[in-house]
Amino acid sequence: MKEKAEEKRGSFWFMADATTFDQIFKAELEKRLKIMEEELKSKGSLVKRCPMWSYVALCFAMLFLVVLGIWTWFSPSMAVSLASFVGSLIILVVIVILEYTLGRGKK
Amino acid sequence: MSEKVEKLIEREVLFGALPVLGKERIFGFVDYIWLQTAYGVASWAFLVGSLTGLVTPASEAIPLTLLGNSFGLFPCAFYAVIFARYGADQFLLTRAAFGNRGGNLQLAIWIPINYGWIAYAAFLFGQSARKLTPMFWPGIPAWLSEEVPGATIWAIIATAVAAFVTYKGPIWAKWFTRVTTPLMLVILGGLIYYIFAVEGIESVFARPAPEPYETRELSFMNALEWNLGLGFAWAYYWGQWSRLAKTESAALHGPWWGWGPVMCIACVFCALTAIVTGAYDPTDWFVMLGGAEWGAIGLLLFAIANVGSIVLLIYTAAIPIKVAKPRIRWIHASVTIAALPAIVLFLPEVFYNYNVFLTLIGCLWTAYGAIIFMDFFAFRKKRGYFTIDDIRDMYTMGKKFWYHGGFNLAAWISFLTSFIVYLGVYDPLTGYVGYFGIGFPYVSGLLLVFGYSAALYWLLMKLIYKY
Repeated sequence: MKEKAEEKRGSFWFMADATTFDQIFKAELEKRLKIMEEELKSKGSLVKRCPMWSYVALCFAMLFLVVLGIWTWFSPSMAVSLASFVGSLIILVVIVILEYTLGRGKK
Repeated sequence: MSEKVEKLIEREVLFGALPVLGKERIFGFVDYIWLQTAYGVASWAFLVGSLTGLVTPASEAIPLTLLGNSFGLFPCAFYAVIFARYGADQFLLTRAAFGNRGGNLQLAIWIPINYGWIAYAAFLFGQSARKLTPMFWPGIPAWLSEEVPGATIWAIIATAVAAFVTYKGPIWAKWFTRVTTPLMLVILGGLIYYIFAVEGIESVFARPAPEPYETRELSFMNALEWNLGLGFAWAYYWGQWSRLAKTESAALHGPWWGWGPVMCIACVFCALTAIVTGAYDPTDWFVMLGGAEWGAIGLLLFAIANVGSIVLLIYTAAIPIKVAKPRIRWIHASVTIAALPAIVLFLPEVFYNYNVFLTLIGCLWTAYGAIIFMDFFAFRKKRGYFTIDDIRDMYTMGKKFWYHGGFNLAAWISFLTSFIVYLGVYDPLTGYVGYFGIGFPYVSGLLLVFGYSAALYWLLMKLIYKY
């Protein structure tokens, strides 16, 4: 009964004594570090690496907002204001499309 | 101990502390942006939008909100990729820069900061509840309907409910926030409808800011500083989520868009509403704009939605506490440590000084982000970031990142002295120039702190540790 309640709570750690916990923890850590070592050797990351276009796209979005921010300091207007709002969302849509087209490479 | 219990302990260990492997990741590109948007659209977004709208007109408030939040997030987005690469938690890789003990001290600094965020969400619940209950219960005692102590009492009740939901575990927390997060979006939808259909966008743009500073420059830069403060505030939160991203690209873009431009939809419409109403407290807007009936509905939805924000905040704090001290009982991680002490901040003085919180305390999280950024890209990158031995060392509190007694002096000197520079350029209590007498409003204090902390950390690492 207690175990079931704890399972729902998602917390079993405290039911283990220190030795059991440390053993499980260390064994799992080593197992995972070994897998990580192989993955890092083969592809340099546990997941698919970030392509260069993705960094460039983020920098472009930031640059867009910086330019419009500086523009607003000198000459605030409704058009620039709305352009920053709508423009950044358009850039997001383009990035999502790029991610699901260019981004579909091998892992 | 039964085999089943051991298996469950193993599962807990995997999801709580150890590196998350590629096949275990759960957030794709769009999922991740959506998740972070849902997390971002909360009391902190409403309040920063409100502050911005009070001091700047719409033509400045919109670009400032977008620029401030996004620029604060920008450098941290690059280091989020590293958390995704190794599947490691924020406060684990923090040990590389701050030292193995220093990483734990950073966690100890961040937990009280998280109490601040809890306080804003809880007090907003309190404000909603004390204004809402007299509509249904006219004979309510004055101590429950007045700001002091009514809002504080209601805030404590909200935190107790949120702590209970978090204590019940991740499944309760997930379902609770699945219900409450859309409520925040419904309220936002109501504000958008009001601005476009009732007030008219051109009419909003024609209005001046209700409470500007003496000069345009002061209003502009103070608003930018508050938004930068919120943007940099996420510096402590990237790793907890990025370790669950399915690709590095998702880790890079997800929180930047979700906590940046997409979350800013909320900030922007709150700024526009503040311009129309001239009120700081979002709970005042609903009755002012919608009358008694719509106002009551707005207050009810907003109150419930804020409890969801508190659940997310408590849960986000409870997990790193378990990572740092894995055998701690869940009730202590989620209630005793992550939630209860926040109660001391449930005061009007805290609530009405959100701008001070974003800037004065914001100096800490800005310096932290700058140091992690510089550490990863100036010192770890040329060594191929982290080796397996580095990761093992951080988990086992070994000698590699021990520096001086477990603390990296370069990082801690940069972190602590950033306050001296910040207060020199900008006085967060007044919103004017600091004791240097020069800088603000032509230099942003937080951007200067970011540059200063990163540069000093680089220099001291070269001088002290010959990196």
